[in-house]
Amino acid sequence: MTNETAYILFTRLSQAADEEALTLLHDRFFYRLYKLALSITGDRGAAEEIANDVFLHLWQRREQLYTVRHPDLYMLKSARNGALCWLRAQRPKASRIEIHEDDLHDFSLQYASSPEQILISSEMVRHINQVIDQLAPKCKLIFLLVKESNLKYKEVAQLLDISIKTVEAQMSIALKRISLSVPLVLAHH
Amino acid sequence: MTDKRIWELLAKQFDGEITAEELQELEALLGRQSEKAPYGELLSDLHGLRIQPDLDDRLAREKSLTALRAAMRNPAANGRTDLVEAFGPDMPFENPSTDMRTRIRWAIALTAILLILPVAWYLLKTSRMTGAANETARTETLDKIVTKTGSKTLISLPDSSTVVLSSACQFSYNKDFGVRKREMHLTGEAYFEIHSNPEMPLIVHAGNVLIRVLGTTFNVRANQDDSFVEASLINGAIEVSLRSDPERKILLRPGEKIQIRQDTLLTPGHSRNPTPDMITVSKIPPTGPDSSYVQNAWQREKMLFHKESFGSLIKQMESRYEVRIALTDTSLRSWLFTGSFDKENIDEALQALQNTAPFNYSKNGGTITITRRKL
Repeated sequence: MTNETAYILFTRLSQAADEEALTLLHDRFFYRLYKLALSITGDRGAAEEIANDVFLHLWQRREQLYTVRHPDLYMLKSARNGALCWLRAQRPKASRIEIHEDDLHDFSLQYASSPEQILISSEMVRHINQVIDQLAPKCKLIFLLVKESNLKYKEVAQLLDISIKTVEAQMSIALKRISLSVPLVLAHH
Repeated sequence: MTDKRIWELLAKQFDGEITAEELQELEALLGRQSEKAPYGELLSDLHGLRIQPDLDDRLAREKSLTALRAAMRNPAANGRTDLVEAFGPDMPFENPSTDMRTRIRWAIALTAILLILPVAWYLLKTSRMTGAANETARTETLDKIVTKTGSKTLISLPDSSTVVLSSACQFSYNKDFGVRKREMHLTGEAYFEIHSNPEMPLIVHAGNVLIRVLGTTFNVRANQDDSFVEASLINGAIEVSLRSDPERKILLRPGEKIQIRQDTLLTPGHSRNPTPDMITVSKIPPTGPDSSYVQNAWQREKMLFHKESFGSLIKQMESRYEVRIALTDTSLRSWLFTGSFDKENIDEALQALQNTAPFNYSKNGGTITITRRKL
C-alpha cells in the first residue's frame, strides 16, 4: 500500500467515519503491526491483541486523524507503544521500558514472487525465504520494516530507537546474505 | 574491505538515500568486480517480493477483523480508557488545531487534504457526537475544511469538480454532494472548476453572496478582512445574487468580474439593501504576454495586481510570504499599485513597490513594519 492510499483512508475515516476505510486499513496493515508487536513482546496472543487495539484506537480517535501526516508510521508507533506498554505490565519494577535490540523475538516471514520480477524466480524465492528466516531477530525486524512498511532507514531508526548507522549496517548484512543466496545467471553480462 | 563497502553502498541505494558521490563510488567498485554488477538489479527486484502470511497469521487477522467490526457497531467499545493510556502521551499526533475548533460552527474540521487519486464518490456521514460509533441520525450538517496559511489545497469533489483553496480558507460542502444538491460555503479565496450538471447547479455561499454555477471555471474571493466579495468568471456562466436580496440576479459572462461591498450588508442595524454603487461589474483586465487572468494569478504562483490598494496588497503578500506586515500610517492603505510578483522574495517585492511609492520598511522577526518615507 502506498503512503498516499493510507493517507486517503485516514482522511475517509476522519471525515466520514467510513467503516470500509478502516476495514481496508486493517486488511493492509494488520500483519505488519502484528509482526512488530510479536517481535517486541514475543507473545502471539499479546501481539494479536495489540495489533487489534491499534485499529480500535484509530476508530476511537478517528475525528483527530486528519492531523496525521504519516499514517504508516503512526500505526507502527501505536503498535510499538502498545507492545512496550504490555512489557511494562510484565515487568512492573522496571524504571524504563525500551526496545532492547537483543530482546527482539523471532517470527517467520514468507515471500512470494510477483510479476514485476525479472531476476528472481519462484525457485529462488524459496532460497531467499530460508535466508531471511535465518537472519538474527533484529536484522529480520529491520528488514521487515524497510521492505514491508516501506519505511526509510531514518524512520526505522526512529521507531526502534536505534541509530541510523545500525539500520544501514543491518540492512547491508541482510541484503548481502539474500543476494548471495541467489545464484545469478550472468548470461547477458 | 571493498566488499563490505559495496554492500554498505548498495544498502544506501536500497533506501533511496545515496549521494551522487557515493553512487559514483559504487559504480567504480562494481566496475572493478564485475561479478557483483547484477546485484543492483537483483535488489530492485527484491522490492517486488510480497509477504505470504502463514495459516496462523491469517486466522489471527480474521479474528481481529471480526472483533473490529463488532466494535465499530458497539458504542460501549469506545469507552476503553486503557487504549488511550497505551498510545499516548507519546502519541504521534501532529498539529492538533484546537484553536481552530472554537471558531468553526461544525464539529468536524479538516486541515489540508490532498487527494491525488480520484476519490470514489462516497456518502459523507457525519459523526459529530463523540462516543457514538454507530450514529445513524443524519443531521443536515456540512463537513468543513480549513486550510493553513501558506498552503494551497486541491479538493476533488465527488462529482469530479475541483476546487483549489488558497491559504487561510474556510470551505465546506454539503453531505451527499452531487446526489440531491451541490452547495458550498467559502471564506477565503478559491479557484473552481465545476463539472457541468444543468440539473443540479452548484451554489456557492461567500459571505452574503450566492453564486449559482452551471459548469464553469471561476475564481471567488471572499476574505473575512476584505471589505468586498469578488467573483471572476473565466469560462461558462455564473449568476450572482445576494442573500439579503435574492430577487436581484446578476449574470456574468466570461471575462467579467463582479465586486460587492460586504460591510454595509452584514452590519446589523444597517439597511440590508445595497445601493447600486455597492455592486460593480467590470471586465477582468488581461495582463501580460500569457494573458493569465489577474484573479487566478495566485493559483499559478505568480501574483498579479492591477490598481490594487496597498491595504489589500499587503494582505495578499502576508499570505504569500507568510509574514506579518504592519502599516503604521493607515493613509498608506489607499495607495494603488499595478504590477506582478513572480519569483521575488519578500524583500525584492517590497523594494519593487518602493520604486513607485515613498515608504520604508523594517523587519523584526516575523513582522515587517512599513512607514511613510519623508521626502
